[in-house]
Amino acid sequence: MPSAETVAREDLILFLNAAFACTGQREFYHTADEQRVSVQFLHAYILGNYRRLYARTLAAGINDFNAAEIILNLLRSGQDTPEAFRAEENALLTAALGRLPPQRGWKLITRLRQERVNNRRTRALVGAYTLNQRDLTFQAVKYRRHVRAATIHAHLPLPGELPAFLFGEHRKVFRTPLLETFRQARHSHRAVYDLPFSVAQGMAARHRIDPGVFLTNIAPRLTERERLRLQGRSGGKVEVHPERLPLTALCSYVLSLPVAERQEREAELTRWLDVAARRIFSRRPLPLPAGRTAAVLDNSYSSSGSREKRGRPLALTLASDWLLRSAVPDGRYRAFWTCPASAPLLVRARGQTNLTDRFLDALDWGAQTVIVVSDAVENDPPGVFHAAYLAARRLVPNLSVLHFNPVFDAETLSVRALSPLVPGVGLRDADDLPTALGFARFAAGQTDVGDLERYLAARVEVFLNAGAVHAEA
Amino acid sequence: MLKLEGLTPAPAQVRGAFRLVPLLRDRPCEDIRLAPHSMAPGFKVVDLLDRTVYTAFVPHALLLEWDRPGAGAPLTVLGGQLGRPGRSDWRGIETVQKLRKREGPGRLRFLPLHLALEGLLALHFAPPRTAWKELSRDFLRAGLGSRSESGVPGALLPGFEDALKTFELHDGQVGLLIFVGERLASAFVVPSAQDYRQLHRSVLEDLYGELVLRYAALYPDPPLLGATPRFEHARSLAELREALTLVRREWAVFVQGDLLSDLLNRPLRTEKVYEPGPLRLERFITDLDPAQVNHIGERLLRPDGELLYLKTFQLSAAQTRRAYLLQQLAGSGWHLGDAAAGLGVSVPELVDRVTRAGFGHLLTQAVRESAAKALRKP
Repeated sequence: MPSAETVAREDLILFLNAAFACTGQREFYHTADEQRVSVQFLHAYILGNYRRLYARTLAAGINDFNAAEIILNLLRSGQDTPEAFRAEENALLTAALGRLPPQRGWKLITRLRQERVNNRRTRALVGAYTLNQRDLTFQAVKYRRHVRAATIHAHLPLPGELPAFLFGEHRKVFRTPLLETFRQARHSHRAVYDLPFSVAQGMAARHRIDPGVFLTNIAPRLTERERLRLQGRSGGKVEVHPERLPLTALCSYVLSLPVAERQEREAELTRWLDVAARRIFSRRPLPLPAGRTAAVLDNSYSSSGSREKRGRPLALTLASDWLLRSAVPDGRYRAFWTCPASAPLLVRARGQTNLTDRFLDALDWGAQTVIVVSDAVENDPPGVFHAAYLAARRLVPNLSVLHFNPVFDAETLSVRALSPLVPGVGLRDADDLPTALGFARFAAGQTDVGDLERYLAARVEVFLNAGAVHAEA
Repeated sequence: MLKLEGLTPAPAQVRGAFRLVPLLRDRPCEDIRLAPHSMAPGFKVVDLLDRTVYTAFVPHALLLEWDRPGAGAPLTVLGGQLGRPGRSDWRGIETVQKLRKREGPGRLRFLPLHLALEGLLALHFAPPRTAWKELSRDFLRAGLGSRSESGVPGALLPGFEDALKTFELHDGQVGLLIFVGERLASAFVVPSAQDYRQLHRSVLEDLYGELVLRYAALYPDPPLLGATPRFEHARSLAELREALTLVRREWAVFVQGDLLSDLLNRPLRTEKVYEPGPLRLERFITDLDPAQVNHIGERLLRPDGELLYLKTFQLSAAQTRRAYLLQQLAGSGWHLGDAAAGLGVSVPELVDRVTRAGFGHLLTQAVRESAAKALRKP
């Protein structure tokens, strides 16, 4: 029978992996509902058994979906917090909520209201979040419904003209320019174009402005993500600047282009990818051991993702490839795709998952460290990676195999592993690869729960002290 | 006998109750193409050569092209359809000429699976030669008159669509074996990999045996048949690679030997349907042994035996029983005494079997009543 320590360690690693990878969205093999039910069960289980560690995972670099879920669960069950842990938990909550992207932060507050979570701590947190916004007027215009919900929920005294804006009938002229623009946009076409895009979109529909005209005029106000989302259907009216995107998003963009175009613009795309990759590892180097490093990359058909996450696993794989390529000196890194293309930019999601073939290719090349990025649904033939790994460990001294998995498996409540000896580490964004590499040794099971707690405590330290700057450590 | 000549099974992919085995072609086939035909799905009434009529819901038709003028020709078939066909129209009934029809030189349109089904239905359809007094007057005059069999559309099999959607196609894949409950539900083979990519999803629209539905619901998780690990004793990387090749080869042998025992190495009753150029399009029925699962199907063969096209349908036990009974009765010239002796039962028992199989109308009422009376006696 395993000791309580082992169980605790395994539970936590299970949860952390899920919190790295799962976004509650549909995946290739699972529906969104399966994903959501599965991950919510994990949240409830960890919250009930390891509350302190559950709160601390907020600092471990988990994705925004799970961070929001944790904040909600903690606020919902405030009375269970041990007295001594209250200060730390509050600090973690404040920091984590502050770091969520605004749309997620506001949505979370609306959810708090819908689920009637309204204790003193929640009100204080919502109040601090709202009143400490750098540009509350802009937020109030862009997220009007949510800010109104926050105000009502936490009984907030809003400054200036905001109460009149959120709750009034907009009869009088506002002195704040943006609020006045919003008021005018109800009648004036010209004012529509001075509003944030998502708000202007609704107004434009009400004024029956032709979508083509609207897109041309609103173009200067679009954010980078909005441009990316719109450019496909704008008929060339919206310009994109993909070079400004982070690496994984840039990879998604590259993979969305037809193969012929990728071939044509190869030099340009390669340059952008290099810059984006360098941005990541200049912030934090990849903790890779010396010796030859090979990546076994899965571009089987299942890496095409789902309708909700189109091509996400493949984009993540390509991003990891690029990051490793840029971080490891020449000649010491090589990528092995399951279905090879003539150039890494031209990869497509197709074919079966024959990881073992590529694993042996990598060993033939002389790799010491093999990094596998795959959803681990091996099918050609199934289940041989484990056997091959066991044998290879005997044959290649100092062989280390790391496995990163972009997909949360709803059935097993974890990310799938290729072999019981090579546990998978969840990965959602190539930006997190340095963190994931650091975490991999815990997943490998060579450490005890004390080490894991210390690791988390150290992360909490960094997380709380880094202030508003996003912690990369 | 059926053989997977020129094909190699690759490792299976398991999803839900379905074990899907991809088939790869050893030598790529470039001269023969099979594509979806532009015929709309719907109820079709097909006029047959012997002036009988075949009625069925036909989800799709296929177009076979053989006289291909060389490698430089376009990859699509004239009159074929790219992409998915439109929504089915359940209201209209359309008349179709023949199950297979030549459409210009080197091109043949046919209704897949219905060739085989029609073969099953037409089995011993004609009136008997000898007018035994036990047989009813209608049967003696018109033969079987009408026969019907039914199956389950693939879309109704729980989890089948999901299994097909998440299936990862191999690069040179030309076929698929579908196993449910470790029984072959259907086999599908086309000439080339491009054709297969187009037709992969059409498998969902096909007809499946009733047993397939039952097994899909009863055995939702087939065990993973792990290929035996042969890696333990490898002493070098080269040996590891050899072991991997060996695992694949052993799997291929296992599929052809054990998994496909229902279909391969069984005596077949074949009938030629058409001879496109040097090829042979035939339909077949396995030997109708009631102790085993039987299949009907159609295949296209090269003169050297290479299997270019195959589609099979698993018969349910009742379907097998009916066909078997007809076969036995026809075999003994519809003489009840001989047939009963051949089956090792008494005449009243045979009559009872015939009635329960739904063929009671072939016998006179007097025969049925006396048989029922004889069986009631202790």
